[in-house]
Amino acid sequence: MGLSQPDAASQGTQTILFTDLEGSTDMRIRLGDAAANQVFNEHDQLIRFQIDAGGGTDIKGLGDGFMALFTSANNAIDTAVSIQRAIEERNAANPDKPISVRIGINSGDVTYAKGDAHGTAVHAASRVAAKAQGDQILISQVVFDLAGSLGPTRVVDRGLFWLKGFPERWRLYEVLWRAKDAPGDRTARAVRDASARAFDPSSPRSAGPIVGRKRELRAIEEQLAATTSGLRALVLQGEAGIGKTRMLEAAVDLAETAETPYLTLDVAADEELRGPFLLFRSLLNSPRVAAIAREAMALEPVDRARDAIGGRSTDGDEGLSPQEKMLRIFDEVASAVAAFTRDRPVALLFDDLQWADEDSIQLIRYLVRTLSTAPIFLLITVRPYSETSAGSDKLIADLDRMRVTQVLRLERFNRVETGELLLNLLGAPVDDQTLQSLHARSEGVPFFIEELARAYREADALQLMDGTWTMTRLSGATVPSSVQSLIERRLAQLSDDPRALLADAGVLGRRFKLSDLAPVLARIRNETQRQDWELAEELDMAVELGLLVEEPEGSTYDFSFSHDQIRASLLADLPRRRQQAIHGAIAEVLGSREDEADLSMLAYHSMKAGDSEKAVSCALEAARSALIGSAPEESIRIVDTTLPAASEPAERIAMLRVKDDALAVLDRGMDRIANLAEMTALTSAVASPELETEVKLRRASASRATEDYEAAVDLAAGLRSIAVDRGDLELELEACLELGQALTRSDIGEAYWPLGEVDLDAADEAYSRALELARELGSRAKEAVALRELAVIEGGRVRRSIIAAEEEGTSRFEILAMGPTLFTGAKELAEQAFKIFEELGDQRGAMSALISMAYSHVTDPTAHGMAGRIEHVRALHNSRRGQVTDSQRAKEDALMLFSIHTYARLHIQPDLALLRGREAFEAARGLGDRWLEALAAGGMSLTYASFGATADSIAWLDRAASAAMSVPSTSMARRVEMWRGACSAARGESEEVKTHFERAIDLAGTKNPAGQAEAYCALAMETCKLWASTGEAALLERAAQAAHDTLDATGFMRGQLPWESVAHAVLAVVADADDRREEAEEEARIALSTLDGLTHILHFVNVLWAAGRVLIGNQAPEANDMAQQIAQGLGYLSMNIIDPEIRSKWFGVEAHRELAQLAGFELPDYLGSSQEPADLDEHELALLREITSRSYETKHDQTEVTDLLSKLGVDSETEAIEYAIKAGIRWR
Amino acid sequence: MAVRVVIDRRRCIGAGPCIILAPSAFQWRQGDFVKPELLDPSTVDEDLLREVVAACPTQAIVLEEVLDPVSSDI
Repeated sequence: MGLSQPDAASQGTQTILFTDLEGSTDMRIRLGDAAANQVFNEHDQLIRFQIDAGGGTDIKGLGDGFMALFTSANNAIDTAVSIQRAIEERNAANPDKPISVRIGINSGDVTYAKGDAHGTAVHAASRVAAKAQGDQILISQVVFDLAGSLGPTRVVDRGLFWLKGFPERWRLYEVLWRAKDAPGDRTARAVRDASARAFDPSSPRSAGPIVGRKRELRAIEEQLAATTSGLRALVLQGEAGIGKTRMLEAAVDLAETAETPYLTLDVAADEELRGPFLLFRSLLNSPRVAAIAREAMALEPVDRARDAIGGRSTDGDEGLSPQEKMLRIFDEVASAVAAFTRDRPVALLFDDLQWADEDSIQLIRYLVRTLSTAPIFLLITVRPYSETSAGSDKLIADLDRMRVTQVLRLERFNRVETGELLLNLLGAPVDDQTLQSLHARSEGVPFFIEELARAYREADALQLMDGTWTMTRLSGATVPSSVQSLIERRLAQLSDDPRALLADAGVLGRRFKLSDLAPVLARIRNETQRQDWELAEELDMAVELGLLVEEPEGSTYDFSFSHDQIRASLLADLPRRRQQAIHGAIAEVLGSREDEADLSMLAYHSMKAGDSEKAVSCALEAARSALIGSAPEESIRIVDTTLPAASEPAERIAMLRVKDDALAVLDRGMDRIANLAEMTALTSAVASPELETEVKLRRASASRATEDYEAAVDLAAGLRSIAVDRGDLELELEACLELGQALTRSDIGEAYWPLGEVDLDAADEAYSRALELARELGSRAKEAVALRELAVIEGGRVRRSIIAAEEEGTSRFEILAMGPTLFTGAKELAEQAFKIFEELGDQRGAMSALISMAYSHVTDPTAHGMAGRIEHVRALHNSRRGQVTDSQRAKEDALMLFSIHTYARLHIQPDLALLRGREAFEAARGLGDRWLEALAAGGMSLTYASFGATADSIAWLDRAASAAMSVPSTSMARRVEMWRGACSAARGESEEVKTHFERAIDLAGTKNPAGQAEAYCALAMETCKLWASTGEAALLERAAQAAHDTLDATGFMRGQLPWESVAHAVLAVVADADDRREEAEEEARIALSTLDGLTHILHFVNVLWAAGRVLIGNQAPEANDMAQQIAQGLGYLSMNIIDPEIRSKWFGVEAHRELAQLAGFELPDYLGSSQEPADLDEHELALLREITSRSYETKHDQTEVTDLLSKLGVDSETEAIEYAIKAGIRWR
Repeated sequence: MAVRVVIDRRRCIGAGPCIILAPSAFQWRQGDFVKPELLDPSTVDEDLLREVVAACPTQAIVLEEVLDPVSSDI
């Protein structure tokens, strides 16, 4: 073969390839030694040949595999592909003796000594291979990076994996070596192969990465590491199908690959087989234990234990009492386990302990007590509720008392995790609708997710379209038989009576009340009504079996089915006539109560009972009241459910009308058009002119909702002519209002000012006519509406004239000075509208009028920005509120202050944020609202941290934490950790940053994926910045990991997520630090292109910093443009920070300073120097502010103004405004 | 009980704290006026939604207590 050995005791960077022959032991048993040896020899020759041909250095054979070193990552990958292809060819020629090899590749520093290679990288490579399945090639991130462009070879990201002995998860990629066809087909085929493999019953489940169980994996590792000081235990609770066994398999994997590998003994209790010591009988009699006993030289104690449990008497056994015999068994088993622990730690893993026999549980309790100092890891999985769990409860209590256990409850998956699991199973993502459907059907139970995905795959209901799995038949897919049988097995444990009761209850719904069930049963079974408690007692067993869940106290319902499939299974066995009769009985019971809340239920049950008339009338009433109660989705659902029962055109029209109203609230234009099509068709059937015009009006509004404004204008104008012809003033009013909205392209009450292309004259004409008609018809509400829209149109005219003046060269300060007079007309109209809305008690209308007023006040929309407008709204709101109590007023003001604080903080106006934040904090304290107090204080802490004022940040953090203590919740705890993380970052404390953000990640948990993503993102960026200032390599690695975690966390969330951009920005810095320039620039570009800088300005600064380092730092093609844009942005930002001290502190923060340097930006002189008008008293300051903002309508004395102008040394109000802005007194 | 998020676009002035604080729950709506629409409120916890409500300068976001959607799943 001519394989060369590398030089002795040398060191270097190498790519390490591990191969492992799968199932070699089984093959020996199956084929016999001679035939198996022949296959092994073939395998050895084949692999040695390929390694040699690929330029690898064969270091050693490992029995079932090889380790080889390569100087090139690409050569290692090519060799791996050649190996798999050669094996494929070999298997084609020997179909009766196929072999299958897993390959793992990693790169890193390797030390050669005594003909062997050592080093962390070598360990990792073997762990990577262990993660592969047969026929699979997995490579680590570093190999992926080193390989660069892989040419025709395709690689897919397989996600993050725990590799034993490594603290962080590793991202592994699969090399798709079967690629032979066109690139598109290759990917599709590889994905299909991967998904077929995932569903292959012979393929070990533990091979894939574990989804959503980070906390549990960490607990297993912690407990495994802690057994050096004695027995440690972990109890995993969870319902059927939640993945307890999967976690147990992962624990076995972790224990066997630990630094000091554990002897693992695992056994599962069986639901149907019971008997004395059955759990330990099956354990001790397994071939695996025999092998382990041989290895641990513990054959004798194991034999004795086996004999004792099997009842085979030994010397001196005869005279013992049953109790003494029992103790003897306990002792023998304890000795056997103790013998196992002599050389290595032992992991004892018991699955499904709820089914274990009492003797075995007693024995485990005995072992725990007698072997408490032995290096034993005990893992128990158990269902949280079960009739047979009394013994296991005692065991858990024992462990708890000994303080050696953690009890964790496995939760159902959220949608994000469901998506992740499906990706792992299917090898490619599923589309949104499919994810939604699978998640809803499985309700996040992992086993159901897997089985549904498998059933759909087998039925070809899932198709791989353009790299994404899409469900082709969203309805009609059946429940997988595996799920069915799991449920059937659970139902089979119920005796007949409770099962029949449960089935009847199922007709009531997923959730039900005993007070509904009792009278229904009395009717249907012709019996006297039973007491609620009697029924509850009968349902007890269903609760114990986990079929039913008791609703918490205070809920509307008493019980719910733990999964809807359980109810579906029960109903499937219930004869249709009986179901119909029960529905009828429910309708009778509900009908006798005349409870409005139950109308939709009444409609549904009436329909199911066959009473269409009652169903329709109830549904209509229910749908209308749902709409009034602002529950449009519910309204639509009621209509959709009951519409099939409505046969008369009038009934259908009434229902479609309610549905259109509901769809309008939800802004679902296209659905409205479809819904109105049926209404239009029915119109001709009933021949009603009123209905015809109504439908046209509705169509005009629906056209607007689909942005088909031309159609909307045509329809509205047409209706207006019809109204004029008929002399129908009311219809004309409606048509004019509709026309106005179509012309301004905005719903009533929603526009701030008309946009460029709006025909203001036409809109003005339509609304003016509407105003006339409303007054003539005495409709105050519509009068107010028309006035408000006319105010907006008038404001729009003024804006257009200002823009024109500016284009002609009028200065911004001059325009500011002209302010008040220009907008008088608009303000008067808005004011009139506001008064009418107030009179009518229409709060929404009043607010929309206030907002239009606020917009009229802002002469120059760019001078104050949104913060200014919010302040205007607040001022107007305070001055004009009508009949509200003092406490309401105080509450509203506190919220408004907090909102301005938040806005300013999120838009980097720290001075305004501090001012309003403190006020909000005090207002919240005054109100005793500790929640708002905590939030305001936390916001203050963040604001101070943002410009490096760490002492103040800490002081406010303490206030926040103290307030948070009064309103404890996981969410609040998470917030406090986020604030602490940010504060630690400002202080440069990298370990604290890690601790706090990681706690926030834990606290967010699986129920709050956005919270997790946010915390990962903060950890990534802050750590990255700390690396930039300290140069500590470990920080860079940590930042990179957190960035990957961020992307993992956001992978299944929709929307434009700033966290993703930040993660890419961090990865850009990481790649740049590793001299992977091309990748760094690419990441930087992705970061910039995926972030809306105007919305997420806080994140944007960070992303600019990171991307700027890479792109400007490396003189990338866009460097100059980017520098220019950053400089411009920083200029705008510096104008927004009015307080010169805070401004210079903000620009003094290391990352901000670096950003300014990269962009060549310097703070303008006049902004840098404080022009503090120290000699102005409070009154004068207030006057100057009024002049500047033009937002208050106080009439001030002209002499006061003149005095002020001379004091400031300026000649006009315009110059005063200029002075005030430069001096930064806007918010003081 | 669960909560339903309702955006009142008449009160909304498009300041956007909802989108900044909860970018997976809210997004900008298509159209002429920059106002938000709901994306996926289930990705965030209820307390954050309450913060979003408090941070909206015009109180244009309302949380309504509703029965868990499952309950109406008859």
